[in-house]
Amino acid sequence: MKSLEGREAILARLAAVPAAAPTAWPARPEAVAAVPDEEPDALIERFVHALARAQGTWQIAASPVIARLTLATRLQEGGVKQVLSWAASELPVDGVLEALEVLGIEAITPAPPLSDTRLRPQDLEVRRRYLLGIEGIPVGLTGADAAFAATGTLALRHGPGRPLLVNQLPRRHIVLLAADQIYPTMECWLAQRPAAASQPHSTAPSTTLLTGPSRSADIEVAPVFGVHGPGKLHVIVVQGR
Amino acid sequence: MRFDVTCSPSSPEFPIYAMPPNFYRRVADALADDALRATLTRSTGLLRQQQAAGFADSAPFEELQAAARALRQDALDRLPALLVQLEAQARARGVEVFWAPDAAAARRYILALAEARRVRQVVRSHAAAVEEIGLDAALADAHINVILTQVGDYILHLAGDTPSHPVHPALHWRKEAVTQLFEQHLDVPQTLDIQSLANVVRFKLRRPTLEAALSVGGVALAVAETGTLALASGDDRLAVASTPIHVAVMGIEQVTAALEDLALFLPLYARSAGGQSMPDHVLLLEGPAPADAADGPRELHLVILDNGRSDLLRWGYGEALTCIHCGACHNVCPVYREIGGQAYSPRGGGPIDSVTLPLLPSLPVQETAGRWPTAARDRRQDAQPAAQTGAEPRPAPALRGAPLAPLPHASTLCGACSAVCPVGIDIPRLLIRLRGDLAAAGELGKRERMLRRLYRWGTQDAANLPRLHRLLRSARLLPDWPQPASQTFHARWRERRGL
Repeated sequence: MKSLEGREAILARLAAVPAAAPTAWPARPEAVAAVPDEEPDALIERFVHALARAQGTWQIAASPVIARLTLATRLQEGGVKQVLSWAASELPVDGVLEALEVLGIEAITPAPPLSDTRLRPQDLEVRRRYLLGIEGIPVGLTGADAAFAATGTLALRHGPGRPLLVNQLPRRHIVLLAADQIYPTMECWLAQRPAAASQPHSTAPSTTLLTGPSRSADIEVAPVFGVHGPGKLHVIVVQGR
Repeated sequence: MRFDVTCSPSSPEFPIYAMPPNFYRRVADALADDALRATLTRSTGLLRQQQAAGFADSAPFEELQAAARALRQDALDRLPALLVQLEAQARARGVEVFWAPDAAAARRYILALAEARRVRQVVRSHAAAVEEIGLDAALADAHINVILTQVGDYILHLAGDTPSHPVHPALHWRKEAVTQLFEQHLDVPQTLDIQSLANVVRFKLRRPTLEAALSVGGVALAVAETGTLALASGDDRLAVASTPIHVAVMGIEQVTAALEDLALFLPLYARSAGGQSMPDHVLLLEGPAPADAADGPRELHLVILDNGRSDLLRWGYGEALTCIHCGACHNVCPVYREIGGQAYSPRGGGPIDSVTLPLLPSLPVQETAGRWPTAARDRRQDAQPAAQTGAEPRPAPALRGAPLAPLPHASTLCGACSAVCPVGIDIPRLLIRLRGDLAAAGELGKRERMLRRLYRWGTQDAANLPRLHRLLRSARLLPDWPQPASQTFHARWRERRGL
């Protein structure tokens, strides 16, 4: 069946649905849509508390310089030699990748070689080799576009220089989050977000909302980490940007 | 080290538990399986604790429930307009939209796409809508390899088993059985460490996922005003990032009006399903990846699936479609906790499914009628609708799921499901109405109707009750009918109090 026929068939069936009885539905409660008015420090505290409950870890850096040092120290102590990373221009702290390079840590921004979906076998093979080549890199480094204090959630907008694979492929994910990007709730972030309808298509094809490390509970409801994505999530909150 | 377990649905030796073909036999088997019931009791108990803890620091549950119910009902009331708006927004962002009136149309579309792109390997994440269309078998028939990304689905696939819970499909499996399964099929050493067992799946899935060209998954909600697809299953995260083509399958009811609705529904789902403040991973897809992006799907397809849902709306059962598939009603149901999801139907089930499954198109797995006679279609179509008030008269359901007609009766109507449902679906009310519709449609045979009349007579007057018991047993209508207590409750109460 052609999609047009299916469309018309489904819409015709829906048109035959008897009108529902008029019901006085309650409005969205204030408790859901409320926008708390909080000081920045209180927001940070609430965010890291919620993040910790979601099994994420965190550090607070008082300045971008300290954030670079904090990151470098963490990677060096972990013996990390390579990181998958967003492009330098997309990170909220300048000079991060250069600092890592000085320490001998290579930053790779993944760009799988596939320009379209024609999927010739030779194209797929090149892509496969590339992905398997970067699969073992242990750490992913990203920024974040927002965080929600109520739930400890990070919002990562993707696009050029901001690959999805950085926060999916490695076993550990480190996020540089500017303190002024923390919103009280997801509602507050959505209210200030430019309407998607007004955005050019190429600017925001996808956004990831991360709340803690990759978690699943498929065997005896016991929580396990890292099956589908990074099993560890560490957030460096950068103040004074 | 080996871990010896006895053979049962929750601790299988292989081949796995052969599922009896009708409801009554499945229930009898489940009730006779102590290991299964122990597993269900433990796991559903944990889930209930998690659900309660999840709402400890949220806005009052009743307020969230009322708001969610209002938004879901509003979406259903405006369904045609919202779906058309969603289609327009999605197409404007480069998404290919396909409307599938039934499961076969959805399967054909995805198969044709896979053939056209010469795909030999498909990654399929956990999604009720995808399981509903029977895609795995269709792909296998087309010699296309299917990789299941959710650990529970992976276990069931290896074992040839069927799901028992909407969120935790392998809820009936114990770790002892999982480790035996992995040793046998994957040649890995046995362990009882659940993180290690999950790591085995991670290792096995990683490369095939990165090598695949096409992924298929579900949608938690699609936003009409923006065309945004919210993907929240978590197990799809790597596949959507790495495969160049992604197909998202959604039921027609999985649309919501505004982006801000997600701020209510995502936490509500996560708290109800597992006590988390949010799903650990949500991907908001607003279109295919642009040419200058490094990854993400270059081709994004949205399949909008009806497959009987519009009939549910027409017959007055639309409330059941407001379900967000969190599994909370399963976890509290005293019937589910005894028999498990596999007893309900060959594709699993629980309280909410007792409403929808008898009304939806036939299952891909053959279900026999058991002791219940299958009514003639013409009798069903002649049936009169049950009485209702406050809405336009609704047409009578053309009940085509006779083998699953017992499901609405598999309930104590205790209302625990409605109390925990995050969208406040009144499941007992729907079940009672469906019982009436099934009876009106002739789904009850003569024997069942006679038994019900007898029961009504026997319970209308306390004096009749002993006669009813004697009659049922002496007539051998129900040889297993229990012996009644020697005294009525009131008589016992008076005796104890010396009244």
